[in-house]
Amino acid sequence: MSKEKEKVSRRKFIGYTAAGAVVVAGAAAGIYYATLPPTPGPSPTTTAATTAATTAAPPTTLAPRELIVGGQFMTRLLDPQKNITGHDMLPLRHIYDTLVTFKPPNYNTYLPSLAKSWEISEDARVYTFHLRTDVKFYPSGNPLTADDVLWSLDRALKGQFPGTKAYNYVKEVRKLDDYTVQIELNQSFVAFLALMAGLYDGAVMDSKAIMPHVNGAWGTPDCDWGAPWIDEHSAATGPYYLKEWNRGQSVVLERNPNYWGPKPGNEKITFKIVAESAALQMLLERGDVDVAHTGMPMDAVNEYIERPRPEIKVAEAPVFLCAVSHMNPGFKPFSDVNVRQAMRAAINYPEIREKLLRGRVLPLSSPLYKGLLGGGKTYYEYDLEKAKQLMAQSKYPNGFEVTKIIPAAADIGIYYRDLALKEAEDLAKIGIKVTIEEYDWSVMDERIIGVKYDWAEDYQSILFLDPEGILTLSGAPRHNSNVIYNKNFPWKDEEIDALCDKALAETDQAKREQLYDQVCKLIAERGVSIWYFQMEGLVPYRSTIKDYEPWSWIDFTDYSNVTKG
Amino acid sequence: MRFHQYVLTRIAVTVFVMIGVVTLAFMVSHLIPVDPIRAVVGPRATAEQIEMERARWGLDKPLIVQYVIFWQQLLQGKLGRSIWSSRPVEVELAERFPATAELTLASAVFAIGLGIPLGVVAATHRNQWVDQLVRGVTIFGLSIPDFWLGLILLYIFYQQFGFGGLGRLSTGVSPPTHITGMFVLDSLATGNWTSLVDSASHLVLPAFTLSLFFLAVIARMTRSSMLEVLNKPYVAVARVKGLKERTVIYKHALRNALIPTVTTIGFSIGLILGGAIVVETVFTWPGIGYLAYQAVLKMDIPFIMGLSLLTAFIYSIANLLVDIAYGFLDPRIRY
Repeated sequence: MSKEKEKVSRRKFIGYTAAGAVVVAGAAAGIYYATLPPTPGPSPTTTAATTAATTAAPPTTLAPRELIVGGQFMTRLLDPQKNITGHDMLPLRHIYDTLVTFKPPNYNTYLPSLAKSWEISEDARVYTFHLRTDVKFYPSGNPLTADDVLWSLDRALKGQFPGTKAYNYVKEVRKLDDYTVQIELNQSFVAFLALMAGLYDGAVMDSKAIMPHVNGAWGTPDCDWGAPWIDEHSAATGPYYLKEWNRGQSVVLERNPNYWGPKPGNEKITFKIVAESAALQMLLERGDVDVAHTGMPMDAVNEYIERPRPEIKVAEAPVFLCAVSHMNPGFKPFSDVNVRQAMRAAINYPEIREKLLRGRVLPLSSPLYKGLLGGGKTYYEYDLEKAKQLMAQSKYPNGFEVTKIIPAAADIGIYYRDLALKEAEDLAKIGIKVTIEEYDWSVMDERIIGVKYDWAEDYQSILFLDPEGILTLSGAPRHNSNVIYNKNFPWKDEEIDALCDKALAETDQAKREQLYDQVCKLIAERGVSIWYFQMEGLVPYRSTIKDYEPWSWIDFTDYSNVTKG
Repeated sequence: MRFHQYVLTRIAVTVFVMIGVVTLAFMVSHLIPVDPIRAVVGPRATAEQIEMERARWGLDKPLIVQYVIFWQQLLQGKLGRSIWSSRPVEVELAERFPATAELTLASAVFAIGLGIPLGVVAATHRNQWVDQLVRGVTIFGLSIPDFWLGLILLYIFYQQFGFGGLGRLSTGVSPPTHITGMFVLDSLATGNWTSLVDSASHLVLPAFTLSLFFLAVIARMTRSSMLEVLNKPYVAVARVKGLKERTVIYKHALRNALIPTVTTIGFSIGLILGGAIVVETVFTWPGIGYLAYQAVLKMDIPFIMGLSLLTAFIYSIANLLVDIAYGFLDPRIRY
């Protein structure tokens, strides 16, 4: 190309100038826009296409006192009995009431809710609930009666949904009068109130409003239990009702004007779905969410704690979640009790807590969490000399090789690989050589439940707020009926199970606690699992939030009393 | 072959492509050693609960029976129910598709609207600073991961300056009246200026993030194609005839150079849909991509099948349009 053509012509000059002007104007507009203060109020919402198509767009309004709770929620169902994830439970616990409830940090004392009082027979087999007479469902306005309680419980019993447990224990449900319900169990079971305090078995629904929307014969496999309708509507008595569910974006609740209890703190609560943790951090720091309920980057939370900022606080509470591993007694060395005890004694828990987890976890040496009846006591600890002695007494004084399967993830704040590497380092000191294999959680679940492992890393949560809600998961064999120690699992201990059964019939709480103490001692001696630490819930929130109380069962956190200044 | 015969043949091929894609997706979904029922019943469900749910979803039936059932439903216009949400897959896709369509279209506008001019400018200023700059930008666009670029843009524009944000609209802004489900278009059509400004500002960052890779590909393709065409004798003839440089470049050279670019654009539409999975997750954009990410994690087979079908359809249609465009760009191409 000639020099002549490389020169900038007048036409080109004008073009470049115009383009430059557009860029400058754009930048100026951007800066102007950027300097506008952030708008307070509700979260972005989009209405489902089918709904929006039939309604005109409402005017832009800012709801007064709207609490926005952000998190990596994967809301699936808004049916209190059919849901299986904590993400679903969080909005639902604000919509549905139960017969009884509790208030943190005391999870061992039940408080009245829809039942103003109750009686328990001496053998803990018959429970009689007296209902409040001033409760109305929203939006139907139907009064709450014993029929609604019977209908709701019948749905849980016949549906046998994945989270429900009451069907294992309930023999008969009777209506004594319009406001009195009696439930007879097939065995003594003092943890029944815990089931009634949870949503899976205990949520009370508006039977008259839901029944017309039930498809299929009630109680048959074809019955849909009205679940598709319940997903989209409120038929409950809780402090809030479901305003809208913008799938993939948010669940919006509004204050229930018929609510029988104290007036909730905010007009609206929006549970905003934020998939990316770094994005959630930005939203919190800009004030576009008030609470980062779950999914915040741990580094950011640690930063808030170590370098406090006036606009952000961090709520801390022990949560009912822990790291645990299971030793399969079908693997020969683990059939030796001395080896299992040696393993427990050889792991340096203080170093794991302080170095790997920056001290943001609590010690745990039994299945029972701190905060629950009988929980938080020490049953074993790091003692290398004792571990060496136990190995010397075992059938494997020279050690052995074992493969540990771990999740290929760093979820719920646990870095499984770091934990396994640290363990391998500790166990090498007593002659145990550990090979680590990582798998996706789906594979881990299948292998754990199928008992296809020698040693498996796992986490432990809670099924319902009672020691039995943990022991049916892991810890005690429970007649090999639980998930981990199932019928394929080669470990039975009738003494431990007998003590657990006795504890379930014991109505005196102090005596019950003693029984669980014995259970935990035996588990520490003969058990097949190792508990490492109890997680501490760290929930960052804006300083403008008042009365925020962290819950140990984090997905059951009650935001209805939280106020936004 | 006449034009309409060609189009009909292509449509027939498209049907076979979709059957192939769905079959492949079905087989792969069932070969992966992950049980989708576990996502429904929870990780700690008992074996009995798992079996009960498996029977409920028909996953206990032989593979071939499940496959036949799928096609029976499909011929009735149904894609089955999502295992994760229990809702009809076609409803889920229809609800989320407008958001993805809006993002994909905006990305395509960025990628094509900027990529082609940048390629032309680079080619016409070969080895000058403009060319070097364009090549630098395109290498940057090709090498930076979507999720990283998205987070960087969010940090700079949203966190520092408050521009845009997550989702499709800002706090307190109501969506426009539903026409297409694409907020920018619907806001324009209904004259909802508040929603227009807000939805457009929310669209810019994810659309740019999604487009940068394709912008780079298109720009590089246009540049190399233009360089080749600019050396052709007919371009020299056009210049010798005394035509203006602008006419030579845009009417004679670019039109011929666009064929490989248009092919690239056809491929890009499908790839943009794939890229939307990451970008929608970073920006919490409630489209199909974000849902697909969740569906794959949960092995939601009916949803994966429905999504495969939709993607194959879009991809096939895009490529059909590309083939048709060849004829308009180059009159020598006849069907």
